[in-house]
Amino acid sequence: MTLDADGLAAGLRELARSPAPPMRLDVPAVRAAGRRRRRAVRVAGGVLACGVLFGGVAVVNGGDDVTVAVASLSQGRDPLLAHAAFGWLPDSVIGVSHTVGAHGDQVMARAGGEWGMRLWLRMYEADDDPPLEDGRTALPAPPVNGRRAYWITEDPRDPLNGGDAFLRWRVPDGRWAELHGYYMEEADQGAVLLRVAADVTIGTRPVPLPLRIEGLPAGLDVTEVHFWRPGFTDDETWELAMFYAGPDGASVTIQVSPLTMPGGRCRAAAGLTVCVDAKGVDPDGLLRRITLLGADERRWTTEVVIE
Amino acid sequence: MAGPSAHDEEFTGYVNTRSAWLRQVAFLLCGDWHGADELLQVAVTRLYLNWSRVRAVENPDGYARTVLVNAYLAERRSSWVRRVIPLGGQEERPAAGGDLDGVLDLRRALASLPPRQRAVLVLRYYCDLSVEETAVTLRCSQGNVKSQSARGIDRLRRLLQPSAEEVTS
Repeated sequence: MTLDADGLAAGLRELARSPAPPMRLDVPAVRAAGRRRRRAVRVAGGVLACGVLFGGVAVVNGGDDVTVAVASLSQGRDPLLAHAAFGWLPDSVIGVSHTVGAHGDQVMARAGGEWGMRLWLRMYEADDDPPLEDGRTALPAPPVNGRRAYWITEDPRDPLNGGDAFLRWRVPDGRWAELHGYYMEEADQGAVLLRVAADVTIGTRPVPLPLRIEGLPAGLDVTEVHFWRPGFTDDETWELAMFYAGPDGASVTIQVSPLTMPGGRCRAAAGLTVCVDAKGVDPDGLLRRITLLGADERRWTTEVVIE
Repeated sequence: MAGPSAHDEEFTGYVNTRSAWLRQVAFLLCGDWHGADELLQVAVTRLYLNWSRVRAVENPDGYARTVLVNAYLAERRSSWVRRVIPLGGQEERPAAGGDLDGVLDLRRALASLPPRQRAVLVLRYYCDLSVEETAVTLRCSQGNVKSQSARGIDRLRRLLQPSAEEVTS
């Protein structure tokens, strides 16, 4: 089978037409189960309402949630800024990725392997109560650093939401932080998430990067930064991609990795490879202005772009 | 006893016309028909619970597909399901007339992908959703969809064609 996009689409269509046993879907049973669930949810809602009387707070349903940036771009010396950062993380975590661009912003810690734990950090606007999507319930969680915290779940009987767990807690400036964890193998997921949350720091800081650029061509603005740790190839290496745009359609992509990368103009130094793809800018001239700082992240810098 | 309400009649009518398609999507996600039926039952129950909302949306098929995919991902994240329900399932034969070995290989290769990658590939290449639509369905960024697509296809290529020279881009 040739696996380009068309080949995959054709293969999936053929696979979906595989001979199938008779469908076991029982619509009357679905309706009966649905009616039982509705009654159960009403009962759970009553229990939660009682919880309020005893000092707990259960926020049931809310408006549209609004995420604020957990990382952003800067046209200053460091193109990548984080607005929240992990502190303590389980030993299984092998890297923290930052991605920022038109598609949004993400900070994610992950363990090794395709099934390794994922921990996503997000921020929401200041509000009295945590943001809450339709169909979800906020169940009181132990306070995080003395501030209110909630498990956000689709099933009021299951705070950890079947292993797809969301913890939202208030941070000192009144905003809400969110930790979203899944593929967790830890025996006590809730305790791990609470410990991770307690050590998250809120505040803007530049993210150290493994290169220095002395004299970026005038007029170029950074439009996206993807810093995947680990990268796409294995659990040991990482990939950094910085995208710039300028006047008259000029564009530059700078990629850095311990891996050898295909395409573009590339140069290797200090155990790393940097590649430049450019339109409207001399790529070789730009390559000469880049200094690679090696794989030891203690040598990385937040003074990335030097005038 | 009162007859079925208009709510129930509408719901039943929708499920009767769309369940075969939803079942195929579920099969591509799960990898076996028995798992697909279990998943379909879960998803259709959720549709029933939210039927007033389904009626109000412009694209009920899109809503149903989102419910199905979310149900699949939620189940796969549960360690209980990972222990109890086999990911691969039994080996039903693909439809006659096609590339039988190729389709069986694809099925085995898909079963080895993490659930999110598999869901991204099914949504992008079977349901023909755009990157943006897939991101909305999975409640993730477009960048995440792109990276999951790239990783998933790369993994399938390696599994289906271990010799790098045979890979076409």
